[in-house]
Amino acid sequence: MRLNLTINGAQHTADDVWPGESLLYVLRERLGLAGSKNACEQGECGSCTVYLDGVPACSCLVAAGQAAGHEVVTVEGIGGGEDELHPVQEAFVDAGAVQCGFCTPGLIVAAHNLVERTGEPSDEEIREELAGNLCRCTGYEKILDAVRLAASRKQEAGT
Amino acid sequence: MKPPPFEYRSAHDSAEAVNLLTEYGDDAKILAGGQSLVPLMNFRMARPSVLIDINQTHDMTHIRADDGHLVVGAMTRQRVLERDQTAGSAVPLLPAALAHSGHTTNRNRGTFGGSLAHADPAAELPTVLVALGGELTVQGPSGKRTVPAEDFFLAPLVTSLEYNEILLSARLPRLPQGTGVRVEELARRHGDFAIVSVMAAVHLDSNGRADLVRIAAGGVDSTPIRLHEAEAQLSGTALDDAGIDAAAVAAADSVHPTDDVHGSASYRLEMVRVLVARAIRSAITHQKEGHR
Amino acid sequence: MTVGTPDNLASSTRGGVGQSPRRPDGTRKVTGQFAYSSDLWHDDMLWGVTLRSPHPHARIRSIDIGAALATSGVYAVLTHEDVPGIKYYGLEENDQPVLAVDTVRYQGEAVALVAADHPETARRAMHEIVVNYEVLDPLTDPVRAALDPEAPALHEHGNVVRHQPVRVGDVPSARSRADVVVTGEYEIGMQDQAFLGPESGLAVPGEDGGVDLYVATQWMHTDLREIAPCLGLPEEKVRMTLSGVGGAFGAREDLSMQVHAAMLAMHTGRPIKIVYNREESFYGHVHRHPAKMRYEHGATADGRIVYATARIVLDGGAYASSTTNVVGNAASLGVGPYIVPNVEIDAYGVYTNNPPCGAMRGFGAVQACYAYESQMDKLARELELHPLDVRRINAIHQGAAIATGQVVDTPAPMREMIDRLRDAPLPEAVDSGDVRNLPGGVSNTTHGEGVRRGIGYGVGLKNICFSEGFDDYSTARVRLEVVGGEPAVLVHTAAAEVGQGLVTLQGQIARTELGVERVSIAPADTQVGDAGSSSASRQSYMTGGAVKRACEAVRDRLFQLAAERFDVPADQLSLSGGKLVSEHSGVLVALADLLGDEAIEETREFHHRPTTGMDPVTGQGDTHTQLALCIHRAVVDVDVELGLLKVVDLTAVQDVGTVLNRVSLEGQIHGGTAQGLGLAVMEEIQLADGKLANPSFTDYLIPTILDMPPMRLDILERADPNAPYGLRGAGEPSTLSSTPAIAAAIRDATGLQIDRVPVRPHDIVHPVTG
Repeated sequence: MRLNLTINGAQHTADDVWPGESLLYVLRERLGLAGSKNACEQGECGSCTVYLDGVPACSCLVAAGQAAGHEVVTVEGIGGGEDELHPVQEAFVDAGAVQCGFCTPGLIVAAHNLVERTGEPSDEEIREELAGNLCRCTGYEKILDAVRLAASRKQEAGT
Repeated sequence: MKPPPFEYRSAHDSAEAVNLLTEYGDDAKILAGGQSLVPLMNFRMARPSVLIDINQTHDMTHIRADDGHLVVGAMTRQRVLERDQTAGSAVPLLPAALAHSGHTTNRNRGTFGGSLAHADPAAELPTVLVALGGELTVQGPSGKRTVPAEDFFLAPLVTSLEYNEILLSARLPRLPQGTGVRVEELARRHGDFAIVSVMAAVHLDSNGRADLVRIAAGGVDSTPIRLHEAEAQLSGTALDDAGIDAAAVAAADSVHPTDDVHGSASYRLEMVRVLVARAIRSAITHQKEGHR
Repeated sequence: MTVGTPDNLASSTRGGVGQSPRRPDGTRKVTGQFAYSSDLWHDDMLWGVTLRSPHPHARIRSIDIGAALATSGVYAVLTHEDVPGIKYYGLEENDQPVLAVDTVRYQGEAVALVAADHPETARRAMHEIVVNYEVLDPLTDPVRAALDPEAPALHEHGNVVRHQPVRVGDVPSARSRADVVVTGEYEIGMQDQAFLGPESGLAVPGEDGGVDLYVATQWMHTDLREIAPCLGLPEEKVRMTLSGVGGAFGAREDLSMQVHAAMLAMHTGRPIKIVYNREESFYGHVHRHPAKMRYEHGATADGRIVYATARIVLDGGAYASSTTNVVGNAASLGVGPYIVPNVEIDAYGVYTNNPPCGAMRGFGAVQACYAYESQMDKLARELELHPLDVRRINAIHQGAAIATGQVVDTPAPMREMIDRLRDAPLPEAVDSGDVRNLPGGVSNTTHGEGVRRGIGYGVGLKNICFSEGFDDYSTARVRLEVVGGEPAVLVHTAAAEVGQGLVTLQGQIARTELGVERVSIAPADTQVGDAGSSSASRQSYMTGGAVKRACEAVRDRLFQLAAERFDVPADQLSLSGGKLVSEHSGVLVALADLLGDEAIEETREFHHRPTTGMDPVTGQGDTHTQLALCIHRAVVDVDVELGLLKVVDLTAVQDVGTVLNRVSLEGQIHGGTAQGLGLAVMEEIQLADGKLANPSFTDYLIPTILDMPPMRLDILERADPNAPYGLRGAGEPSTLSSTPAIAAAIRDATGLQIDRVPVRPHDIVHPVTG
């Protein structure tokens, strides 16, 4: 099947898509958007988290056809690229929340959603919101630091 | 590139979905939120030759309440239902149960009907339906029929849906104003499938006697189980401690769990006893202290 | 107190040693641009898949590949008959077949390979391969494998991979002097490294008949030494480049898909991509050795340990992997950081038909630590001493010897660490007002009923760098030249960045040593000498040491150049802010002007001080390069009715010699602690007759952000004069001590034995007694 969808604001078309493929597979293997990661492919780890119509979802749990005509934002669409990081991305680097980084793209999307939505979340809120994103390197302490840092910088900037 | 044979069809309403099911037979699978089916396909544990996507349907997404009942369309997203005030005030057990169902990202996509049709014996929504004696409306080529929840769930991942039937909606009895509800869910990590879950709804009349007791357990049998014996023991009583403890023992006697990687059968039995007692007590507190 | 950084260099350059500059790969990682091994793509590539044995033990009667090969879109189906070179490989013993030859020895062993133009086509063809197995009884009990001579031999040389005794003094006579004796039998389940980036990579056939491999690994040169003979190629025709590594933790020290992808590429003439999914990943790498341990300690009434005995049986599974050295660690560190005058240890590593086990963070020291720390708590109870006191009384210190007779000749501030931990503030009492703070957290059922709090302690002793006489070294090439008018440094090593932040540290060292801010790290590949493994907490020490050496050599040449040009003595020169400075004349020249078009490049090896082997009878020897200590206190709330628990607080004190990068260092201690927590309370590969019952992230549980408590760290700097900058390896020690601390806290809360980890809910609700 042919699949048309909007990704990070741009129209994309993929041909010969097998309808059993996940949105994650289409993004990674057909459209060259490898930022969303393939750690478990069953919705347990959150590494593939993307926005689907503005709501975070595990792209490994979305069948390709379900995304047809919809709007997807991936980690590649957060911020303005390498020269213009979003405050959440900036904070992840500054706080040391990135080690191997395989969980990072999914966490960036989830943390972006949290910070954009809630302003300054409490530690309990951060933990609850990010409980679906597994990280094996950091023990999460620096990830909490990063979200707190991003939220406070955002408050300071008044945005 | 030679992708394996596979067809993808999009249904625009429930009738079209039924027609497609009839046309393709057992090889077809309904795709709703995808939270259960897509991982099965990722791991090749499900290999349907036709996917019938019902995300474009418009006649299966609704939440309606009347004096006696709450009706929820099968394509209602779980996150929408969880936050819906009509649903929450009619059946407060629903939002309480949904809070335990996976993570928010799963509930953003996952549908009410998808969870019911998937029929995992440890899942929250089937247990709510069984606890409250809900009814499911299904549509086939010759029309609609209504199935009580206890007859809908037959075995792990098996329901009484025929190959050419689709789940339209489910109907839950409105709970009396002020009913205390409690979801006790035992999982080692937040968002995981329950090792054991117990759902309870309790209403005490003005004399302090229980005029409504509903209890069901998930994860302890091949389907969610309504704990009738425990309900019967408690109904009409003042729900004193001895009565609750005895009913909890009766509850554990009426389920038949098996071992799996998350817990042994004997552990699950013991947990039914502990959780039924805790659920009843918490539900009473809930009624007395009001809904937070 | 900071020791070890050269005074004239430490603070002069931004982003140098002792600071915490941003990771050079951080921006690419947060924007999704960093290429992991599973992200690689080649235009005309094919997809490879691996057929694996469903049986833990079977003879292969025949393999029929006809139908698979006839499948449209399939380019190759290969079996052991197609292995171009030697059919076996291994880290320490060449005992593992590239593809099963006539026997499979574990469930998941690779049997055949398929390459096709779509991964699904490859998978469907794989199911068309018909393997005729004669199923055999699996040997799954490691104690039987170790001690029962009647057990069937799984390999020609028997089932014991290594038996290492340690004998000190006279245990029988010491036993008669003991006032109290405590014994225990302890068990550790099989832990998985559970890195998030699955095994994957790309093999590209070369025009010279060789192959280019882009893979995620921990040690490229040892990969190379294993891969090339299997492919029948000289090492120079196998060119390896490290691609992005999504975590490792020991699991990437052994080969996974490397030879398979290369075989398919050489056979088809096309690039081959292989990516495991999560289930296959559980079959595709080694795990942490499960252990069964029997301990006995005797002490006098004043708390002094007079003897200890231990029998440690480590289940190595079907193939040796690094079992030999894991046994060495378990034996040499078997009684931990305590002065024990009389010792009898027997550590065994054995073959079974369980999944192969090898390296995981902590490497043999983790298993022993859980047992000896449990014994310390038993001793404390018998002696009516505080758990910290019994540890303090018997603590090693600089000048004392561990069980192997090796004298600790650098700081070992264990008593100070204990005292600091004793003084660390405790968290507040159970807050039952917010369910999020209770066992099970928000999803759960505890509302304060049946919740009891416990406090426990654990101390771990870990060897840093490779031990037992191994000539452990690393190589670095450093190039200094002018780029765009500015001096710039390029650092090139084969060291694997697996997430730990080695790329950051390499840059810091170059900045400090050369006074140049602009540093790039070249992609790691085998075009430069061996860097050794990213394991054993050794890369800061070893590759850090090599980069420092190479920088020093570059600096010497610069000074020579300047000395000749300006006629000043070279030993009066220093580097600061991109300028050459003379003690007497001040700034002489900007580096850029001195260098002009010239590039200075130097390559250096760094070897740590030599170690010896362990005596095969007594286990004695100076076997370790460096020893590191970490101590944890855990506070745990347990719902004793449900068997659920919540770790409320973890406080650690660790001596790191010198802090080179505080942010990275803390990340290592946090991460190691989290993996120790996982082992204590949830992580276990469950086996039934050799078969995995839970190969998924649904059923193999690793800690989420809700499972981790706030972690407080107290980092000591007692420099090691033997090590670069005085550093002490820091990646592993916290993984040792957090597990027994949490187990002890559960014990404290429940009064139960807790002689097995991970602690499962039913162990609390239905404890097996006796």
